[in-house]
Amino acid sequence: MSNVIYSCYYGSYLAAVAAALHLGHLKEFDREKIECLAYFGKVEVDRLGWLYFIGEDEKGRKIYIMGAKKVGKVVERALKGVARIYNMGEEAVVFVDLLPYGNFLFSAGCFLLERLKLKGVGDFFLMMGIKKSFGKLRVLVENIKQSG
Amino acid sequence: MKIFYCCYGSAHSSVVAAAIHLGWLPEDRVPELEEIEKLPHYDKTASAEIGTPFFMGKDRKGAEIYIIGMASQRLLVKNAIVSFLQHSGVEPEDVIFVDAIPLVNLKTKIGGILSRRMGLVSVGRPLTIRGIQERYFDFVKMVKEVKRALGLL
Repeated sequence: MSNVIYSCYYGSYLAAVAAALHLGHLKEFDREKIECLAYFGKVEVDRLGWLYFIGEDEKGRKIYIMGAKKVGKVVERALKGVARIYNMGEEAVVFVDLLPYGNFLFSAGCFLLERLKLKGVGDFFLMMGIKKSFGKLRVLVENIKQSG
Repeated sequence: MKIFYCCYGSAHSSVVAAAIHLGWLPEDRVPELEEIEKLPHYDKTASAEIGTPFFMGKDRKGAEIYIIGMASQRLLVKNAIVSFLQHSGVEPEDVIFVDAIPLVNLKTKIGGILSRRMGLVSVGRPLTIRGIQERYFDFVKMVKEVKRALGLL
């Protein structure tokens, strides 16, 4: 059984968009649709690390999102190691760290929203950032979908 | 039952705690430098391995003992493992995490940075061991408490 885990700093922005792209819930950049995605902007800081199940793709892989701050690589090694210990097989964990897919606008939006709680201006920068990365994100997700 | 002794990089405090648990180090005296130095994984785990769980052995009651580095995000990494197991249909009740970081003193921290991050092994490694030796009986106490709580004595 394969699990695809999309991870970003908070788990509820780029990861939510990537999971929606993977499952076909989102095709093009659409601000309104993005704001309505499950868990979008809703993962609490004390729930970082928890996996949130979003859906199952056409290959039967379970799609999750997770907030891993800047330790995505550490989490990936931990989960792959645990999968080995429980004999789940190498393919049990496909971990996609989206941290490199952020940009300045996206980071500014996250900071304004999560740290300063400035929703209006934070949302504006966040969406600009997601829009800027959307193409790259779609290519990445397409590659993940084709693999495995 | 699986017991994961956790620390920053799975190179020092978790290795010593696991070694005490498995009876590789004494409980009634402070071990010599060489006894600690020759432990598997001691001051050897690379930064690129942080997060990988390493199997150390089985104790007398059959509990599997692992070490794992969780960098500075121990709660986050524990959440990830527990959550992953739950979603995979594995009962996480049999997985115990023991945080060895509170027993790390300044000498072990500085020694670890010198050895693991800066590559100054000949300076850093003995310093990490000196720090471990200073807190050694706290390690023994912690492991005994873990064993007592889990019925492994």
